[in-house]
Amino acid sequence: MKRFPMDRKQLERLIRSGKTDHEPPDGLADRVRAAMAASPVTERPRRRRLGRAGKVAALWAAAAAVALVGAAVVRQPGAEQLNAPAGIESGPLVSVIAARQPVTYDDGEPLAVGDRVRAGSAVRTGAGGRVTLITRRGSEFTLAADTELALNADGQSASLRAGRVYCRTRRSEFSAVETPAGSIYLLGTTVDAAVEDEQTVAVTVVEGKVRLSNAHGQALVDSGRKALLIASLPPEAGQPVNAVAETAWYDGRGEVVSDFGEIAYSIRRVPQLVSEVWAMNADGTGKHRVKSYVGSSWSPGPWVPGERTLMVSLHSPVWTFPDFEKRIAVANRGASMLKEWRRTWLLDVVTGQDSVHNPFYPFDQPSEYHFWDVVSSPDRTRVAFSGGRRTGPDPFKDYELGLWVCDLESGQLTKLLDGGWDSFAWSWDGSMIAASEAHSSNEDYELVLVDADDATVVGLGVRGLNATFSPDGNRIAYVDDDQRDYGDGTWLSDRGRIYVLDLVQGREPRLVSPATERSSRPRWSPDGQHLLYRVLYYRRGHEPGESPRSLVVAASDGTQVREVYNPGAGYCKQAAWAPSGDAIYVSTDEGLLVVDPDGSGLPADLGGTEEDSALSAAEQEQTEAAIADIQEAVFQYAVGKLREFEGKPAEAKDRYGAAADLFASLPWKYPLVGFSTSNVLLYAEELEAMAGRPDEAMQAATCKSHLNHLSLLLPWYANEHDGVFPRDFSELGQWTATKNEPDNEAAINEWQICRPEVAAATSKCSMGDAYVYTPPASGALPEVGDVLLTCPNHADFEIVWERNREGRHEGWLEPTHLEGFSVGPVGSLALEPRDAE
Amino acid sequence: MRSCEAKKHAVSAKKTAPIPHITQWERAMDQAADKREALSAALESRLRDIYSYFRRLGVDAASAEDLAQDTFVDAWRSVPGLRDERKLRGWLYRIAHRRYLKYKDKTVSNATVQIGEDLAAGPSHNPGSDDSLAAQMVRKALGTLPEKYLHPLALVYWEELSYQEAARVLSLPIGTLAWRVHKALKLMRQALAEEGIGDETVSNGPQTARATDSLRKD
Repeated sequence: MKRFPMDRKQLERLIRSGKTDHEPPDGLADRVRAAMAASPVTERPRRRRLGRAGKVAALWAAAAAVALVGAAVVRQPGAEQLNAPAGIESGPLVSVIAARQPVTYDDGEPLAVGDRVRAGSAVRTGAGGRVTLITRRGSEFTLAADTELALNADGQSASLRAGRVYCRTRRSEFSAVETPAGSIYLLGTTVDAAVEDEQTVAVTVVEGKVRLSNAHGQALVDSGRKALLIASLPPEAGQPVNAVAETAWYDGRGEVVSDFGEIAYSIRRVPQLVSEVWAMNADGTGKHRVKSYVGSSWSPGPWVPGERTLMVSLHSPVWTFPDFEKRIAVANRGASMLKEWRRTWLLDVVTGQDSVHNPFYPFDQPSEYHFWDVVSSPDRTRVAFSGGRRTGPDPFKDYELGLWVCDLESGQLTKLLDGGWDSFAWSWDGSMIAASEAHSSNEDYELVLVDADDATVVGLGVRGLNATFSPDGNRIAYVDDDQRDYGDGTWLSDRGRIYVLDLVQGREPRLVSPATERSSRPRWSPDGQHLLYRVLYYRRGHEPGESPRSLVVAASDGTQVREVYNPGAGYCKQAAWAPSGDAIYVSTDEGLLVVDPDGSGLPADLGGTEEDSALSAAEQEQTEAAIADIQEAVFQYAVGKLREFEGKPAEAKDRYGAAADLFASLPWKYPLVGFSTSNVLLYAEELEAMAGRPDEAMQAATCKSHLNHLSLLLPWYANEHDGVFPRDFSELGQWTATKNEPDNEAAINEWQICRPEVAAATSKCSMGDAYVYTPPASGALPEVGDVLLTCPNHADFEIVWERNREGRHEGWLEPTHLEGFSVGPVGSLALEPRDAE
Repeated sequence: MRSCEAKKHAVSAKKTAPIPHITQWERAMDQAADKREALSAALESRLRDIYSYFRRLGVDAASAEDLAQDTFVDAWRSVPGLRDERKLRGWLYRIAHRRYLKYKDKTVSNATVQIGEDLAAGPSHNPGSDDSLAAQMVRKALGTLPEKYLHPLALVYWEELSYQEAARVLSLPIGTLAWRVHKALKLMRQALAEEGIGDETVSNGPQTARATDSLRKD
């Protein structure tokens, strides 16, 4: 029997006919009404956003609760119920997240990154050792060398027997550190405790308040104070100190190295397709894969200061026309698979959790703004951003440029400056922002300081970009250069001479880089005595292709300029000071290097390449299978794109759906690869959305892209034929066939729109009807306003000849071709909706 | 410093903008009482929808009563979560769907939805409708779909929710829902073809009656 497939309407009608109706039994309505009336109603929204007043009240309430907890603890130090996480006794208590050997636990077994330590064990560091432990809720303990810390069996306290420990506890987690001289109670605090002798412990409070207690009494120590806990005396509130200086052994921030000494790098087994984020310890040991992403990440970072979180910027894979023989469709050049081709994730390298980065969290990004650059303040309570704001319906007139600050607690936005600010930086204490314009409207390019609270502006009287504050906040390093004309106006370059300006003493700026070279990206050493920057030997007469860069360190007064690393034929991606300031990490195209800041000695190689980042056999197998799956998914996507282009929406949807299914199944199919679900599902959902579009919308979009292709092809043809347009589509088709060179890969990439399948598809609308083409009279150029092409199915679309707009299509309208035109300016074609005229 | 003066001037007119949704949310809180009233007023008609919804998914009569009651009690409690009274119906389905998922979790043994159950239990509870053999076949075919595809289809074609409402009920992006409906229709087409429905008798004219005629002849 011959079968006719049902169309969608008939199928829908049939499915509706399967619906049954059921009457609810008598009395059910009354019962429900009674149950509703009896149920307690609490006027409590699930997600309530507090206003500023509410926030303050909540903070007071929290503070009161903290005080109560503190008091309760002092009376009854072993209070088990206090924030005890479920199952803590049985489960592992802490994980080791960074370790520099020698580190041992219990009976002398070595402890390495990734190990779990149970309550009831003791951790010891030897000479030169260092270890960072983290609890399940994110509190952490870093042990300096020669330290012994026992994790008590109650799961909530630790005993510091010798040495020095730096603790940073979460607000949600209570813990106590017992020492020979008494106890230190921690709740959302940061403390540095050092055992000085058997009777004395020095406690420096960096953040929050800490309660000290021993047999003789107790005392509350404020942040920024250092107290001595002495076993034979009651504790005291301590003396004010510079807590940052006191705890300097722990501090440090960088792009390459986290505050905790971890280094991240990316491995790209198939460039453009999959990026793996790896981490290792600062000495090159403990290389492990943290997460795998679909997309291309040049180099992960920077680290979020004070956290183990890394920013990973990814470019979506690109697709080209599918190669049916090799079953691949990914290449170096092509179109992005995702609508938003670049996104940033925040990746916690300890837990492996990640999320799409929103610097405005917990608020949504304000929608009427458009961002150039977004930078968090060092304490991350505020976000500064430059950009513009729509103030009315007209996108060009109703627009203001500026620099704003958003307070993340209250959500309040404050405009600090008018104008387009290309570079700006927070001071380390978050009180000031140094901002500069690369393209200044009044052409003085002045570097200004603006107070982040009351928006007071102070001009510094110098010109410069990329300013950075020294660690003590007293000096600024910046880049100045002769402004250059880049065609669209005069701009200040971010490569030039580097100067240091003293903000306190107000001396003339000092030049710290070679005057004849172009230098960029100054970075202060942790002690503020030196600057690291790159030099581009631009003016020495090198050819553009071989302009080498090198890394240079200079003292902040401009003396002792010396090259510390020269990558030769390679290049360096990032460079950063080690937290201690006695080494510089350089990430190059061949792995990570450690170089000496005084330029002596050979660089030490930490590796970080595909060869030394080995996977187990099982991981290797899954990784390879997963890469094959992703390749297949991109291929399916590309075939879908091609089918859509050919006007076959149903086939295209099937392909998109198949690709979506492949992406969606990656995380559970290949658990050992450690895919980021938030990254992979983004692909799955965008593809599912593409597959779910109505046929009509897809056909209209396809028709439009056909016309777009033709609007490129027609003037190109005319350029090559002395201004004569093809008489019909077959002439155009014959000509495109000559451009198609299947064996010439470069030509395929360059002239994709001339591929036979594309050329065949573009001559007709996606719904199958041929376009109506009206060529201009032989040898003549069309008049402005002439309609060259109309679509029989989509009345909105047509191609109208209009004057050449400057810069349009200039990539392929080469000057030699232009000479063929002697009648007026070369035209270009624009696609316009008919009703717009 | 010329420019500095100009900038100071510009800064003096600094603006602050509150985050808009705080007040919106507060206002929504005040309207909770009105919404309870709306819920109460619509109880009878909506109860029939929700009860039928559970029954159509193959829940037995007694459990469907309990589930419907639980749904309305949940709704009563979480009325502040209803943003717009006009969206009451979709919102109730969202709660009902969650209740249904919980119910399914408890009755683990039912790996698939037993929509075809009605087939054995005899004709429909609504004698007025034309419960043809084709309609029963449709229910049987629907029962074979994975739940991932069953729910979008049931919500859109049986409960007559819009794509937007159905996407909210299932907490899916609308594109995903549209794709699942597309795929579900495709699966249904295959399943029905296996049952012999989908040939020319179905594709022409008033289909169902003729389809069943031909089936009865077989």
